[in-house]
Amino acid sequence: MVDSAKGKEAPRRTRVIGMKMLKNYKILLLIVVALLSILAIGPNLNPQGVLITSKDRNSTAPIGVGDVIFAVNGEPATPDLLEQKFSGLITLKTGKGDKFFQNNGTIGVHGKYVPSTNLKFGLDIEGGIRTVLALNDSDNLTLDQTIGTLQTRINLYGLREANIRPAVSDGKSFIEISIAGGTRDEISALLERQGKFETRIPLFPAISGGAASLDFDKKYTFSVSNSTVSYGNNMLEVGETVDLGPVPVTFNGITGNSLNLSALTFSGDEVVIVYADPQHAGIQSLNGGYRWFFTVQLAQGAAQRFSHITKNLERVFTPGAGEAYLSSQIQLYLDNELVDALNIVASLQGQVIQEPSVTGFGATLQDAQQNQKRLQTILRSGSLPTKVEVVQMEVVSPRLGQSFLANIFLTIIAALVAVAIVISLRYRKVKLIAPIVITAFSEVLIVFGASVAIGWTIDLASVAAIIAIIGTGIDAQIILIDQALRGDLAHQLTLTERVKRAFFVIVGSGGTVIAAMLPLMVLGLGFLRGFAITTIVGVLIGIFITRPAFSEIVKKLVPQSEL
Amino acid sequence: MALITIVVFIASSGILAYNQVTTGSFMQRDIDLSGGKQISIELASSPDLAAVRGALPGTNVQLISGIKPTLVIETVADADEQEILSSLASIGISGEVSTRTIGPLLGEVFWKQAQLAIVLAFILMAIVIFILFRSPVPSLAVMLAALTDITFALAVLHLFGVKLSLAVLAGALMLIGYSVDTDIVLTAELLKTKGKDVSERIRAAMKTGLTLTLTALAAIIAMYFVSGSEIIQQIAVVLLVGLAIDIPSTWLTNAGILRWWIQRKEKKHHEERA
Repeated sequence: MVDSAKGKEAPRRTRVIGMKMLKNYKILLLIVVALLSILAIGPNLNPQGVLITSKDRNSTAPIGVGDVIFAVNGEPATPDLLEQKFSGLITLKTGKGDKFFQNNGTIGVHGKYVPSTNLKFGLDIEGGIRTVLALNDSDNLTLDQTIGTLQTRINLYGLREANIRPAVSDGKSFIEISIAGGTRDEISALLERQGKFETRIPLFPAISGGAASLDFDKKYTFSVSNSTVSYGNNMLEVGETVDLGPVPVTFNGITGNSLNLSALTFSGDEVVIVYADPQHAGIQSLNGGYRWFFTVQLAQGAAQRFSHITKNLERVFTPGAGEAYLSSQIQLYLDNELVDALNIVASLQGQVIQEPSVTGFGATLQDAQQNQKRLQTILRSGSLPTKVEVVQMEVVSPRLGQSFLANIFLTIIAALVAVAIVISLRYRKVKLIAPIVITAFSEVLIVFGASVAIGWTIDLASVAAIIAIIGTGIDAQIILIDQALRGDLAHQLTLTERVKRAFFVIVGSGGTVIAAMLPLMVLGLGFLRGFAITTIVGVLIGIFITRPAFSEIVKKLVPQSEL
Repeated sequence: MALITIVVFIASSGILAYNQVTTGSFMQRDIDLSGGKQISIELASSPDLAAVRGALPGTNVQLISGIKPTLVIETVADADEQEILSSLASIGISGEVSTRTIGPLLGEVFWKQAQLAIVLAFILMAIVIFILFRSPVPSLAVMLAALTDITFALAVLHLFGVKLSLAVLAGALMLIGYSVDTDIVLTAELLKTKGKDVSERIRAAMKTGLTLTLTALAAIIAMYFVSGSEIIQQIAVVLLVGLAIDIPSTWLTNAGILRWWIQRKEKKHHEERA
């Protein structure tokens, strides 16, 4: 119904010339795309070393995630070796040259063998853990906040890189978390670990006449003599904390002519609410950048303490900022680690404010959002904004994964061989069989190349899809060959017209496959998304790249193979 | 002859419809779609399945072939996997373990999505086929063939005790593509080649079509035996059964319907002329 009428009207000559040019272009396109795919896959036939996938927060090793370690103290690196304990001066042979550092205990980096290609395999192949969380509150704000919190936790706690993806289905919110090569413990750390959060303000009371004092609800005086500091009868050691009325103050030593103290302003359990709703939090465009803010509700005692502590600080006018700040920042600690520090606006000095607002500036909207979420997470002590329930958990042992990988390539090759046997029985001509198999193989190659190019991971379902694509791809080639070879039945049609008819069938069946897969892709049913995406990509590659090239090859073959 | 697969279609739909009415789902649902826990253990050699089943009452135990055999144990979502693994260890079975747990909540969500996906896939497929042929009888015949293939495959799997999983669903939807392939070859041939004997044209299309089905079957059989993955095997089985029934549903039923339709059209044409 589509083509026969309009084809006859077209002037023959221009079409023939056009075809000749197209012929080169189509085959060339296939070759170029196949070569690009090989480049994208980037086969590395002799992979060596261990790729670092995560680094503990307390690790002192002079390397980071993404680096490659070839040897530790001359011993060839393996993922297991990195987990062992090393003491003394460590020599690491890395991708960035030799590195030396002092160590005691484990190195604190974890990794996997350097992969032999750029292909990314799913957890069900490579091993690792995937979990799906259902959220108690399913509004978008909570979903967004929860994901932000999880991402911040990964950075704050130095956890292994995880892939976090939201999904909303049937009015419920879900979060899918996958950690390649990860374990159950790593997921628990991500989901359950609560940090100890506190904020401190450094204070530097000047020493004069053997004493230094702080003024909170009343005056508190330290006595200083011969670099020993005491409060009351108590001689203070560095790191020791004393309660000065309502304010716990830690002694950090003597700096110049001042005491170096830090006052606990509030701890995690004194943060009542970290607001995220649009009334109390937001991002505004300001001076070509973005200013973000959110409000926090503090316990009464914390607000009072803030007032006492800030009373002692000096106001500093920063030219250009348009605002005055206090001389000390408020420092945020998570698990006794300084994670951030904020300026305090001078107008807050000495005030008892139970709902202070936290603001910051980001050059881009994304920066602003990230910073805002990060701080909200820290202030929440890293706790999740809503209750979550683990509704799916998948753990694949990495060793099991490796044998899957071997099976997969064997499966694809077995499928190609099986297909080759059937078409050999039918056509009995190497001239026809070789192009079919080579084209089918190049199609698999291009699908893999495309997976690297668009950064999607190949899971078991994708492999099934690739084999199914081999099936439909071969089908299309058979249709092309059969149409082209039919002299007697359709002798009233030219070769080009017959190829065109074959394309009607090919595009038609490709269209129905895409139609059937589209709902799976959009609905995002578990692993079926990968199946659907791979199939659709494969069909499109077939219709636009491999089939046109194959039709040109067939046209060349037909006059030679008499039938 | 053309009636054979229509009877098959009615019988298969009957089975699925009976399930739908009595249990609320047209096939028994696997853990993907209802919730549960699956433990896979890769073993060095095939175990004594009867002993495994004896050691693990209340679970569903299967063995998947591959380069190495994999024992697959299915149970409820909150089962204690350590307990299961130690029961297995006590009868001398251990290996590399992978687990998958799907909560009932997520299972229900998947099940709803699965039903929606099937309905949407059919609607979209129908639209594409109507656009291709722009004629109701050939389009409906193609869709009947696709429906026959899918219902037959699912009914057969059901009779063999296979449950509906996401993989089975993927296979069923993929089957639409394979099924329609041969039907389009047939329909395009009959609608587009003029002036030849209908039977001769059906034979020509059949030569191509059977090659298509046989190569696809070859690839799928390879995929079934080599992969050693339950997901891939399930997809393969659906395609295998569906492609087997596709041969009669295309070359007997669909061809029969088209032959009747073309002859009736030609008759009408002649009558109008006379």
